[in-house]
Amino acid sequence: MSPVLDICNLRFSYNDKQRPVLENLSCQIRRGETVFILGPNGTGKTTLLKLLLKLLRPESGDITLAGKPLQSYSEKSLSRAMAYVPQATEIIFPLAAYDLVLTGRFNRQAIGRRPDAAAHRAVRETMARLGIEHLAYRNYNEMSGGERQMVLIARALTQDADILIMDEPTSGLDYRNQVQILKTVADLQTSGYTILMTTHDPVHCLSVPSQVLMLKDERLLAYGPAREIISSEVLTNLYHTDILVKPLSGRPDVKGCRAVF
Amino acid sequence: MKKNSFTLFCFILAAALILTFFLSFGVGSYPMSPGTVCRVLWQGITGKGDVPPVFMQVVWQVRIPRIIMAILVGGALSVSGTGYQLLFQNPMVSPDILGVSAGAGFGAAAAMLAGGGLWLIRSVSFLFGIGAVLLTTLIVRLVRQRGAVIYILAGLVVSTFFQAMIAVLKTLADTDDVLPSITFWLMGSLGKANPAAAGHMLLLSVFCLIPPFLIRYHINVLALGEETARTTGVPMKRLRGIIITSSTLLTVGAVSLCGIIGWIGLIVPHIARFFVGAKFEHLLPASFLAGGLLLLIIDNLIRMKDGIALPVGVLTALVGSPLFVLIMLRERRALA
Repeated sequence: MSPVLDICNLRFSYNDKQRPVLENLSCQIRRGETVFILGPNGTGKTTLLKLLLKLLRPESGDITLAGKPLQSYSEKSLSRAMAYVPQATEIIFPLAAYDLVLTGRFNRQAIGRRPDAAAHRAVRETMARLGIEHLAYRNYNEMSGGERQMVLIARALTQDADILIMDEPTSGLDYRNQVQILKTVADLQTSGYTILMTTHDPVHCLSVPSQVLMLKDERLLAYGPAREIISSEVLTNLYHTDILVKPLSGRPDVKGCRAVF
Repeated sequence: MKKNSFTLFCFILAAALILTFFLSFGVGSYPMSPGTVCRVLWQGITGKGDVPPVFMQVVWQVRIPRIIMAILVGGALSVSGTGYQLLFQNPMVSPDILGVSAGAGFGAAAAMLAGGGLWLIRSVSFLFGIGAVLLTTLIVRLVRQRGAVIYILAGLVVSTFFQAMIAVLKTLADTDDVLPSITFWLMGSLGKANPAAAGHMLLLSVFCLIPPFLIRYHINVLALGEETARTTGVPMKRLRGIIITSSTLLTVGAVSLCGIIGWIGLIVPHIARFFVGAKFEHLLPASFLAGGLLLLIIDNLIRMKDGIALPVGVLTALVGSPLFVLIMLRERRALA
């Protein structure tokens, strides 16, 4: 199967060209895969997501999306291929959840036209699918972190893109909400979505069948199936701290930590 | 979705605006009873009646232009402030954020110093207002960063520059004649409104309100923050251009015709947002109506004070500052 995203020799730096944030990064992501991006703070996880979303332009290297160079995609066509789920921070002028989710359909709505019946139907269906219909008229800033994150996922899903780019969706959430977000990710993976997600918790990578992409010192440290890559040695090397990975025993389906929830 | 509160708020505002509009005809140094006002209006429309010419002159040449100007300028500044606050995702932003008012003020002061008439002052003021915003966008381009903070900082630099230039012109101005004119103009006044000026403001308002109206739904993606908004497939560059152009023209039109009228564009968007929520399609009409009504009421208060020509910019600041404190108390979380 040809990769949906092909990243080749990517290099990017912000101001100091001598100190790249990412260098020589190459990997291939196949359709339907879930890729967790792991790495210490400042190793370029979010920068990589921004490069994939065309929010930043690489200094050198190529990104190919579905066989076409990423730079050849217009804003609109890219939004139909990839949807972004940012971190669920407070927003300055908050909308109700329903109105926020509705913005996901604006890439299909001509300027000047009010959102049509199909857009409203898509919003209702997506919110129902994620079980957040009850939040529809709640002000975004008055929700809990977990509820906000679910609203942002719903907004991205209404964009009707096959690839979801999620920037630390579990950041700042309690354990129950983290589990809820990871269950949602698992459901979306089953539905055929390709998901790229940054996280600080290696356990997340083991919660669903996934690939893990590890970044360290501007470079790719490891890339491959999570249950093969995640080990005490690799994590100790990645985070510069002693980490012991012990497989759960007594569960026939457990490879890594499949039974975390 | 505050649809019901939006409809109710706009209905109340529209009713209050219509009522205040008609009551405003009777306010001023030349008092008129409601009956006289009705006869004057009837004669002006139908040509039938025996109202003294002086009444006709006062109502049709002075008060109607001034009342229309107050509504349009108040509405324009409020819509402009609403657009800029949304665009820059900053509740402290006002219509002069990109240096429009300071630039227009400098243009007006320069024209006064050169001995220009009213229309020259307004024209030069308009051009310098536009020039100030172009200078701000040029600085943004030079910096090669398009974030909201860069626009705000560039606008601050341009405003400070033109304010300093105004101070220079003031030191050069004749203290008996030109200096008081400059000072008074900078504080804003609707006193020089005439039918032609009101007509120009009406045309400008219609022209500049249509583009924001057309993007009233899509611009809501800015609630997600600028970066996320750029991933939604909405043409952000075009939308940003529309908001900046429309808001700038509305502000520069208001400032060149009436001087610098502060606070309206800062506080009215907050008042409207409090009642109708943050959806731009609701905020746009609500801000226009609320701004128009507020400035009309303030101007009526000024006209009630016979013999004291208090600049409207002073009274908007006096009314605006306590109102803003109230808003800060109610919206302390959003402002944090």
